[in-house]
Amino acid sequence: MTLIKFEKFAVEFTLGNGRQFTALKGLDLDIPKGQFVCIVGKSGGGKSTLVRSLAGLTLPTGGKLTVDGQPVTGPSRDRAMVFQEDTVFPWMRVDENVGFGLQGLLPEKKRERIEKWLQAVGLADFSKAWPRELSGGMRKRVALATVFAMGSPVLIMDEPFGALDFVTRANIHAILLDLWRASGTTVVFVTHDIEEALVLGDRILVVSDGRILDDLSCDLARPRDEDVLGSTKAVGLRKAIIGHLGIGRQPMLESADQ
Amino acid sequence: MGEAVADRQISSISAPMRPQAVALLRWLPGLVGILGTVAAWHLISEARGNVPSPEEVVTNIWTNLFSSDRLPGIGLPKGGYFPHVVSTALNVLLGGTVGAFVGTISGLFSASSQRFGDVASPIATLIGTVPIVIMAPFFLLWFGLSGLAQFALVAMYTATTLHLFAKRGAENMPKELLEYASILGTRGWDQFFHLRLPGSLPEIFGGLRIAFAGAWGLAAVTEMLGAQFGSGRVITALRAVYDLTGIMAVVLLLGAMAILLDILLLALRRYILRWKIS
Repeated sequence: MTLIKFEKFAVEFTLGNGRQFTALKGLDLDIPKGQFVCIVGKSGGGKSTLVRSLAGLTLPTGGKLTVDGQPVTGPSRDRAMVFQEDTVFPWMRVDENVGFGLQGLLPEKKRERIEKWLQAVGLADFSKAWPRELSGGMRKRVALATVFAMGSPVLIMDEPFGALDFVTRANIHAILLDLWRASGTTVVFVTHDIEEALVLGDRILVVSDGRILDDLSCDLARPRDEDVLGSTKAVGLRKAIIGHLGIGRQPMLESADQ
Repeated sequence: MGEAVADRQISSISAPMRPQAVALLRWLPGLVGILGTVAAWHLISEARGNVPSPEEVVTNIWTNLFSSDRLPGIGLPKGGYFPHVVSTALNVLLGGTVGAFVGTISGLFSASSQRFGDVASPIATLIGTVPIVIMAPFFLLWFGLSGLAQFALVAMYTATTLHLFAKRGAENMPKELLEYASILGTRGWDQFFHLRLPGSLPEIFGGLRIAFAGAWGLAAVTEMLGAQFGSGRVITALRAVYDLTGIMAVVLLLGAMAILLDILLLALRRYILRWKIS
């Protein structure tokens, strides 16, 4: 069942010099409920604009975007988002951060839910800590607990783990996949890291120049350990993505040589 | 041999310092600065006959703090320096608090609403550039010699400073935090109290310290221009009889009060910004 639907979706920006820049060019995309979709592509290709539009933070200049049949007109609690930057409120303790997305709940219910999700991300012992006392990976786990505690049907993630080291990132991937499986949330995950997309995604979209260049099904077995990621299928997917991204070609250097 | 040296280095690096030693080290530069100033002051007074020595000034404070035979003789009410300094302190505290409140609110609103900012910010900048000696006579004409003029002037200048600092604090808040908050369902007043205000507090405290440091001077100058009571009034009366020691005694008392208030502000800042300051 389609949950998210982009139809001829276009976004244009006016640049500082007055010129128009088309970030997304009439995009058509259906995302079914519960799917983990990864979006890869070069910087400036439209990945972030696509997910910011889904979050309601960027409005379209053409086309239509609906989530569960409802048009997206602005930010909503139904579409939670984890940003590339630290979005943990530094003046709130860890439990207050998680509880901030739970306004309107009775205090006991809120407490229960905070404890549950802090437990789920392995931060139960840090509920009273200030964010500055946590590592970068732990702060990302607070952000994960906050958005999953909200129970949003759609989770948008814009290069959330780009600044983390390899081991921390692997650990947080495992936590994210556990939470995703348990919650049934639809995840739209932007990354510039092909390996990260292969580890996480059910489906990988290659976006460049405001268009979807390829829509790849990533039905590799889970958990995706070294054996799975080294399989012929994974190697084929990796090659296909690399082919689309044009890695190895250096047009600027070539033209300079000429 | 080499290992022994390395061991010695490690033990000297890792040996924990006693808390008293840490506290002393923290206060030491300030203490050295004060002692250096007093020593320089002493040397200057020795070299020039018209500068009272630190000893004379301290003795003057001791003699005239709570009761003074001298002050009624130069047209001031009975009592010592203390009630005058307290009066100035009250103007600073009350005026500063009201001004800080108004300035913070208007600064934060200016950052949230462009229309409000377009109206309020130029006014704040304009007021901030008018010298106190030009503004004070108007306030004395409008509010009289009752002390309200001092209160109003301190409030106005504090509000101006806090407006600019609070606005800058709110404007410098990462855009992602505001977007994230809007996704979490925060709007209007919720956003104001849970985001813009706490996120701007580091800047607001910076503004508070600057505004309050300047407020003592503002209050005293306004009292000098026209008041029946207060430190500025005492300085004016002492100036008329060329009592340099007395003037320096009052200035020193005002300075001590300003430092005390700053220490209190720092303690408050340390508590409120405990999420930021380790």
